[in-house]
Amino acid sequence: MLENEKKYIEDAKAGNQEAFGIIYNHYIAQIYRFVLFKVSGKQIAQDLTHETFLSAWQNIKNYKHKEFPISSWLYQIARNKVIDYYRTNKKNISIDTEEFDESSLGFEEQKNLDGPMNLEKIKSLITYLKPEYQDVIIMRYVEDLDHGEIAHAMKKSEGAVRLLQHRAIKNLKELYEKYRGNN
Amino acid sequence: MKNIEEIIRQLKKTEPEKEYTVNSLNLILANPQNPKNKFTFSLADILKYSVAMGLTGILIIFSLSDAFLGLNAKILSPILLSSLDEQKLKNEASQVDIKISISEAKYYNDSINKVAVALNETAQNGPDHLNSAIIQKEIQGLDINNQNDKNIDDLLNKLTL
Repeated sequence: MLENEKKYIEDAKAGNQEAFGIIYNHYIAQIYRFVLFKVSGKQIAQDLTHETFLSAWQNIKNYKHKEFPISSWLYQIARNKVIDYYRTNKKNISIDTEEFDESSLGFEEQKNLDGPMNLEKIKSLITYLKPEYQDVIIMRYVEDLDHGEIAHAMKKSEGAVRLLQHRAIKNLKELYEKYRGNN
Repeated sequence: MKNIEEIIRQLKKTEPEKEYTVNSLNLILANPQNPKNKFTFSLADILKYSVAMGLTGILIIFSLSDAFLGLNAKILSPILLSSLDEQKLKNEASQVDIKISISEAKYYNDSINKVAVALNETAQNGPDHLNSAIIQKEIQGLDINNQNDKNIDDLLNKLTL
């Protein structure tokens, strides 16, 4: 959490651009990563991250600071931006179905990736998870957020987040094993 | 093979380009902020106020009903009103009964003599003096212009003077 975050938020609410700039610089990287791993496209991730912080700047007067860092609110905005992106672009990935669609993984393309397990392959596998699983994996393992903060960002209980985390990792491991088995 | 969680943690090294972040921030700050919504209520606020109003309504209904005074006063009221004290109400009720009994006894005592006289007269003369036909006949028999009656009046006047 940013030091003196509450003060910066109050200043930003009053229209102080410098205060908002401090918040932006502190959280831009993690929000960018969050979006990037969900859309897997640098240009799209940049656009959606920009839209996220633009919404935050325009609506910060209505933000109510609670016990969690403002990043929880930024994650909520970013999630909505990604959902809107998939809705408007009708990307051929099932984002609402309960079960994972194995055929969407595209093993034939993955076979062209040689070498040991690397970050790009993991990033690629993450995009085939359900959106909720993606959210939990990124926030928990990439950004090291605690369960309470993730629960607040996802508007779920901590218990539900723990369950999602368990399922997400299990699902990702299964995907990885299938990927290895096909190579 | 590395643990998959450890591999995921390495994704933290991914950073946005510096040039992008600077340009993005400048574009964002060039936009005006939206004004604060004056009448925004969260679901929690709505629930809080509706529950408070509902409970107030129920309390008003109870307070206006006899059931509240009779049955629920002790439960709902932290301070028991003196007018609702059961023992005091019983004492007052018993005192009212005594006063009523005394006034009734006095009435019966006064009226018993009158009743006795009336019964005695009825037993001796019969109920003829109450017969309306007889009374009418006596009225008709009276001669107001009779000279003897005038003399009687004069004599009576002298006696009284």
